[in-house]
Amino acid sequence: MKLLVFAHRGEAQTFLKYLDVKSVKDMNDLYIGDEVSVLLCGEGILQASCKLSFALGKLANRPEVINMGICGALDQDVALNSIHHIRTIYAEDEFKSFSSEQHTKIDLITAKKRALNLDDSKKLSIISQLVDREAWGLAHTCKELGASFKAIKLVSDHITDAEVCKMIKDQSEVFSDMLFEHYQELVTKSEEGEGAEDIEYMEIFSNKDFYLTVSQKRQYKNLIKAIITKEGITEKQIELSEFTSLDKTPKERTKLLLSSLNRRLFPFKTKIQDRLESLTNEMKFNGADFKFDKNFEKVSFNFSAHIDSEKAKDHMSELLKKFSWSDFEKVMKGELDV
Amino acid sequence: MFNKIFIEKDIIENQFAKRITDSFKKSTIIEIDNYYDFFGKVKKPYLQKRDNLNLFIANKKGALLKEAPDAYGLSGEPHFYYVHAYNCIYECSYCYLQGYFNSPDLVLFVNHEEILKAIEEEIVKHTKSSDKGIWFHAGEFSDSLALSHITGELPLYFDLFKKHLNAYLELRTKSANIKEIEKIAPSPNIVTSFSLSPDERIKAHDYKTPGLRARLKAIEKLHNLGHPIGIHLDPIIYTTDLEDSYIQLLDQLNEIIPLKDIEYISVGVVRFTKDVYNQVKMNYPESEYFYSELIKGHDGKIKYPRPMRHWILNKVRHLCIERGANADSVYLCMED
Ligand code: SF4
Repeated sequence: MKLLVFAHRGEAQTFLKYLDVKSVKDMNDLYIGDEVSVLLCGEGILQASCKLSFALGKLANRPEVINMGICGALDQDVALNSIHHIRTIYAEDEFKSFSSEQHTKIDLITAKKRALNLDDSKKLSIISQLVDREAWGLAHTCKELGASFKAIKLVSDHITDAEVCKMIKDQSEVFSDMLFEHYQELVTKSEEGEGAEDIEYMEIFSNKDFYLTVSQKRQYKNLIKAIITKEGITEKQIELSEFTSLDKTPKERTKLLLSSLNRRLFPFKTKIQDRLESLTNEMKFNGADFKFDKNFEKVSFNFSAHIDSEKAKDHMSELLKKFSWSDFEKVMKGELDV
Repeated sequence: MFNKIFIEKDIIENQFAKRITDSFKKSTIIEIDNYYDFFGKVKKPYLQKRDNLNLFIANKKGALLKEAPDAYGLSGEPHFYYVHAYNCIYECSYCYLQGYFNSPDLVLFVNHEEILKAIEEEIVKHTKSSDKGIWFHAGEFSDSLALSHITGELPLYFDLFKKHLNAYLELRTKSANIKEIEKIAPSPNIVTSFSLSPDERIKAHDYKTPGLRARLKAIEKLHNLGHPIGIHLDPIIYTTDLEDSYIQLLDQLNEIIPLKDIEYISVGVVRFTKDVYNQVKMNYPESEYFYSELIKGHDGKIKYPRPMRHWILNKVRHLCIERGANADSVYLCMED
């Protein structure tokens, strides 16, 4: 679901004509449709922000918010009538900025007042190439409410001392047509891209040789994602046959598989773990339990043992005496070959 | 290189400022009252340094020297850093500057006379109360040499330190830009220190910096001219072939300068504060850090587990000593 936000009706006119949207009773300027809705937010940060908050409250699902409309160019090199996906949105006298598009080089600043003269324009041009009156308020609201946001702007004029408002008003139909055409191109492109979405990591979930609990599925996904990135391979290249051929239950196989993936991804931690394992093996075999700091940061451990007889107690005491604290310290100092 | 250059009105006639603006004749130059009115006033995303980098030429106000933290250099002597610039033209994936200022724009300070005066005062004060050395480092917030051929201040710093041989100056760099230093006669108390990593690591993490070969060549040239050399093997980023790759690196280094002739070799592993780590996540989401063995320590810092840190540091230290470095010239950057 998309919510297209325009400052003025003039910019939105073609959209309102061709999109299947209907006005809402108790909110002027909001038009709701199944796939796309349209909001006219007005000018100024406060006004835009308030209207968008209200509209988002009205819509059942959190939509992707796209601010479309015209803007002025502070940089004479930016061509008139060109359309830009905005990289970073700043506001006059505001510290915060909001970034969405990473692949473009055009930034925009939302100005506090409408009529800008050359001096204002010079000051603002230090920060960005384009200027508008609402985008920052919209981006801020989206950030607060967790909605995704982007701004697409058509350059209607270069900021000079000349009066341009009327000229822009006269041309609003042309601008709206241009924006609508651009929007349609985007929709077509995104429809073509759909279907190729992320279905990886799922194959094993339907493999009868393994059984993964919900948390194991999450663990598996994370491990596989990391290994794929680290080794530059695909999920298919991760060999499962050495596990499927084992005479084990699906649950046991899964445990072994996850442990093997862990060792593969964290070879050094595995080495530490193995070394600690060999220091404590015998006691563990005799019913003791050791808990080491999970990140191996603390040079200490918790020890517990199940004792059910005098003999067992004596035996465990003997084993504990034999445990070498200095070997443990050496492991914690990275002397792993002791 | 720079989208726009901003210069404080007061320093238009400053010789260093002029030298800088003359080097970027094609950039638009805008006069401003105070860089502070613009720099970092809005949150400019760090990666815009790639294609939207501005330069501010300014006077450094406030403190001109800062005491350096303990882990800075060989211990036992006081260390200070002086600030000649904010931000850097390079882009290392682990750089803490990405979480430091609110803008990646570069600020070059040109009131070197004042900075030098502050340094000299500190030296005189120290000399009265101690017979130990005192250290000054450039490059806490920037690379010391990357733009030194443009900024042109190094001869003044050399002149000052040549007068005070108990005071040491460290120029720390990842560049191979030794054009300026080459022209100046060496002094035993001025150390040019190079940060090195195996070539593959440089390619993977030190974006836009000169490669290993270029850095080694620069080291060789300066060493042959008699300039003292320091080496920083920091940050080390773990790979399963770490030992082999550092053997290769140290052997290459040993060929151009015997390790025993290096003033000091510092060894450190990659580590991040929480804030910088979050920035790295945002800027380089595909980076290997996020599927590595890094953990979050009890102090909130992101680092390798204790046994791993110790293993890496001791291993690399041992490799240096094995290849002839003096044991007490190799120091480990350890926080524990
Ligand atoms: S050279 Fe130093 S200051 Fe520059 S980006 Fe790299 S780590 Fe940061």
